[in-house]
Amino acid sequence: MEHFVALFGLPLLASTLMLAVLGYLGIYVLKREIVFVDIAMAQSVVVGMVVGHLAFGVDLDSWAGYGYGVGTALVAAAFYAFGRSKISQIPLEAMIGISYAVAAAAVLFLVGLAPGGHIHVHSMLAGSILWVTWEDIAASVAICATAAAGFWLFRRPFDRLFQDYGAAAASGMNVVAWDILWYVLAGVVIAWATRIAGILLIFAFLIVPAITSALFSRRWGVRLVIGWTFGLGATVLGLLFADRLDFSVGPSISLFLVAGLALAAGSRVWARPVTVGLSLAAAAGVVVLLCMRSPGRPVTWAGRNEPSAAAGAALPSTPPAAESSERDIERRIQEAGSVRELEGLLGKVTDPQFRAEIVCRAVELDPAAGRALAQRFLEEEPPLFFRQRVLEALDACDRHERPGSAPVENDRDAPAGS
Amino acid sequence: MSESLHFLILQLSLLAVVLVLHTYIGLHIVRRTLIFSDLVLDQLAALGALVGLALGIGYATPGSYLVSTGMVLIGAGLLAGIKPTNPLIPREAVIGTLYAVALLASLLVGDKLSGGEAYVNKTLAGAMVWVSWPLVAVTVGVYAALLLFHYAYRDKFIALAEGTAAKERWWDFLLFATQGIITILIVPIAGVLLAYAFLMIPAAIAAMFTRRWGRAVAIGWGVGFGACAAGCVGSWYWGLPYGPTLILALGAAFLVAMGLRAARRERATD
Amino acid sequence: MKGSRILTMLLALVAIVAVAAGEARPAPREGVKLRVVATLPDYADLARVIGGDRVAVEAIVRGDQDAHFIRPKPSFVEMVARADVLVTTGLDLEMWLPTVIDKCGNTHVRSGQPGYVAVSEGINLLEKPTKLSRAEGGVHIYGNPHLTCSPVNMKRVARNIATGLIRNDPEGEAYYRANLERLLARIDERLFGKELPELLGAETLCRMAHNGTLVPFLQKHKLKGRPLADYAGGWLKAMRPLWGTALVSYHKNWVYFLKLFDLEEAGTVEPKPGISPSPKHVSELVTMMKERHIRIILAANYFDEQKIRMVASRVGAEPVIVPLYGGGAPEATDYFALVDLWIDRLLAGAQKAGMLSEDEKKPQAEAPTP
Repeated sequence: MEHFVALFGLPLLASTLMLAVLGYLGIYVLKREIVFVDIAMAQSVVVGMVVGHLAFGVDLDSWAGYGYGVGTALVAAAFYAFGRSKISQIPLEAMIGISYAVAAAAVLFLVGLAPGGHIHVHSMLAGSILWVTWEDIAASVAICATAAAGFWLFRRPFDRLFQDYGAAAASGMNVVAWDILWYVLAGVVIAWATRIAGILLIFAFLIVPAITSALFSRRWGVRLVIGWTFGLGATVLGLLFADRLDFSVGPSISLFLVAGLALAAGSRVWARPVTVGLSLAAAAGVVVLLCMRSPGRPVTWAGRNEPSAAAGAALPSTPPAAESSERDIERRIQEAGSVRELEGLLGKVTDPQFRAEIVCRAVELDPAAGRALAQRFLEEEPPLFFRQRVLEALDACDRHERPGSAPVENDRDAPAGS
Repeated sequence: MSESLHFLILQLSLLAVVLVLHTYIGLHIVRRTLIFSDLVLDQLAALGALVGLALGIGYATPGSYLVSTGMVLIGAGLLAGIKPTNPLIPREAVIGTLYAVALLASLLVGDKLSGGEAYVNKTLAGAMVWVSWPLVAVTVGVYAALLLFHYAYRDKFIALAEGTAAKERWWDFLLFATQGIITILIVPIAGVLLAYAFLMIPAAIAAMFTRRWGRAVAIGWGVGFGACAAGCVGSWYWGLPYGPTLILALGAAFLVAMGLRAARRERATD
Repeated sequence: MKGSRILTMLLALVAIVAVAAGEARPAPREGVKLRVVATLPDYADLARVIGGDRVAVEAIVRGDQDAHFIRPKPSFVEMVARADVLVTTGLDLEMWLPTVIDKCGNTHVRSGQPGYVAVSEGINLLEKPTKLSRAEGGVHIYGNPHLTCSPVNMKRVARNIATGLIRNDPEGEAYYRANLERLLARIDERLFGKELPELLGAETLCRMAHNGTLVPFLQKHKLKGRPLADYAGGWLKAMRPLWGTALVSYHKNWVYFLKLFDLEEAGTVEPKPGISPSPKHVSELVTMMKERHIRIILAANYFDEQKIRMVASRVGAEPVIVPLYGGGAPEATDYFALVDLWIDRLLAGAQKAGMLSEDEKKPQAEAPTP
């Protein structure tokens, strides 16, 4: 139980809040027959957030990001209002549909164009309701309350608008402005909800409870209650499903919403036994889910933590020499003018290859002092190849000093670096 | 032949052929205000591809097309068959629910695939930049056959759109089936969004200016192909993401058309 | 009917919650083993080798998954909640990890705490963007994070993991150190063979290999009349037919591996994972591959096979598709088997593409010591 609450408590709370407002919006959306407006607006919200992030460096999850999202939602709202009043030859739904596809394309376009961090297009779809925080909840309450107040305040003009658009326009009402206002209020809620729950889940929350409740009642208030209860039940089952079977939460909840709708719709049409049989089968499925392996030690929920520092805090501390510093060292060896300099270098590098180079160069510059260095180096018992290098350098030096002696067999190439 | 020329010719040929049938079917959709039905079928085709992947069937292989076909046919059946009598539930609501189903199923299947998100992205954004001549040839062939069929029976279908058809459910199904077939072919290539744009935008633009079917197809095709060609060249020239650029080009054309339509409001429509 | 329906739903809800309430039982801890959770399977593999009997290890990412695109799931939260040690790359590869850590409430494994191990510490990253602006650079802002494809990197990874294990289980220090030394020695031998480490020293070899200067060095210098390159064994020797060749990779996963064996990455097919490249990029790539006769495309097996084969067929190249992580294919049972697999497949691909001369075609790898 602790595990369930700790993991899913906040998502459940968030869902409850969203169902409350979206349930209401959903009934209206069905009535106005603009079912897809929410998904199109949600998509335009995503465009705004992405534009803000890519063009202005705004964090996707911040209030600024939300602001950009609402901004583009407003643009979309204006577009729909304008389209509805000025273009009568094609249905509003067509404009909504096109704007959805174009907005989605704009997101993919921007993401494909700009370099930088990953923007997970997918999480915009499936949402991240699992990770909702107390701050998100608080903000949700504030935003939903504001929007609800707005809808309540202006319910009469909105009603006139919906009952008969033409008559309202004819009677002198500024239909475009009221339309925009409605869209703005809806957009503010949708923008916020999309950020948390993703496009799919918001869409499902909006229409499925509303459709289901329409099957059982015509009355507005009753429909709200039915929708809300139904939505909650589906949310709980969806969370359970996601947990036990390891799926994403957004699609899981949507699955149960739709399954519930199918069952409810079917019960209207099919014979009693079929409905009962299917319900029993569904119940059996739920029991199976519950009996599946439960997690281990319960997760103790320590409350709100500060977000972990950005994952990139670990930068190299003392790594081995990078290629550029390799070249650097070699250059310094070549340019060294005295054995003292080389000795200094010797104190700084630990790699046998460079130490061998330094010693060889020292021998070149000043045989006597170099020989001493070479001796110290050989006592360190370096790897065979570098030992050989130094020995050969010493040999060459010897031969140079005593030109008459027989040359030692030369068994390697010219020294590297010269 | 240089790569660039090869690319342009390939893409433009494909676009030219595809847009004819898409414009025509799109006009049907717009007329009957079943706007989002295509989105449902597109997403179902994508779902089929993802299910195929989960079953080990390669993307865009005959097996994958088969699975997509199954999904799309089921979808077509549901779209044609479910007609709610409840006045509170518009037909668009059914379509919306079906879209939600297709999308959630795609995401759930994607959850279990190893390259999951990348494939979901691919089904959305498409992979038109990768098409080859064999694929184009097959597509063109099927589209041509469908065009002939629809030309032969155009009266029946137009009657459907005008609302005067007998045996509505059957012709309804055939229309959705046609839609389904072109969807199955085009979605693996162009992705859900571009496929939808091909269907809706040229038709919507044409429908704003005329009700006559022949003229509408011509206008829709002309504007659609022009926009796509511009998008194709632009994407090529500036190194922009291909699929999204085409959609944005079509979107821009739509906006311009809307502006023109609103400005010409006073003139009577045909 | 309607009222009873609501009632039924409410009752069902209560019942569900009640049953779920009685569900969770704490599972007993297995003995006193240290619970290690690693993001990538290869880190888990090394942790198992170093930790031996004292640890119980789990990996979050499966071998055939793309670490960029992991969707954090409830099961991850459970795993990390139980963990005593969390092993991760520590760069911007596992961007989904902070969310999981936050949610699980396990403060011991947060960044900076004793239970957190960032394996990239101490590794010189390649492809660091020179300007930290959005306009430049690819997808990763600290440098290329795909460390696991280079055995040289994995030595440092092993050291960091050992440090982390010791920090959390000081009593096992001697045990961990012994296992670590054995592991490092084994990596050296499998990578360079038996002779080169004696001749040049393992640290020098690793440094040069990481910087890409090893192969030129081996080719330039001689010992006892033979080029140093002839003393190479293990994987280095096996890859000799491909030293200095250019290939194209699907995505920039392989940078460290390629640098090690002196292969050139002439281009990538998809610079941004999941996003189709622009037409211009594709055309330029195809043209370049044709001009330079590049015959191999190397790709991790979680990528879109169809695209890979399409590009390959356009230019007549051979696709080499391998798992990026251990466990991503049945043959890749552990890290060593994984590298073996990469090399075998690369050589097989090169052979098919006609890139190998006759005497290079026979299998080169020395028999590994058990």
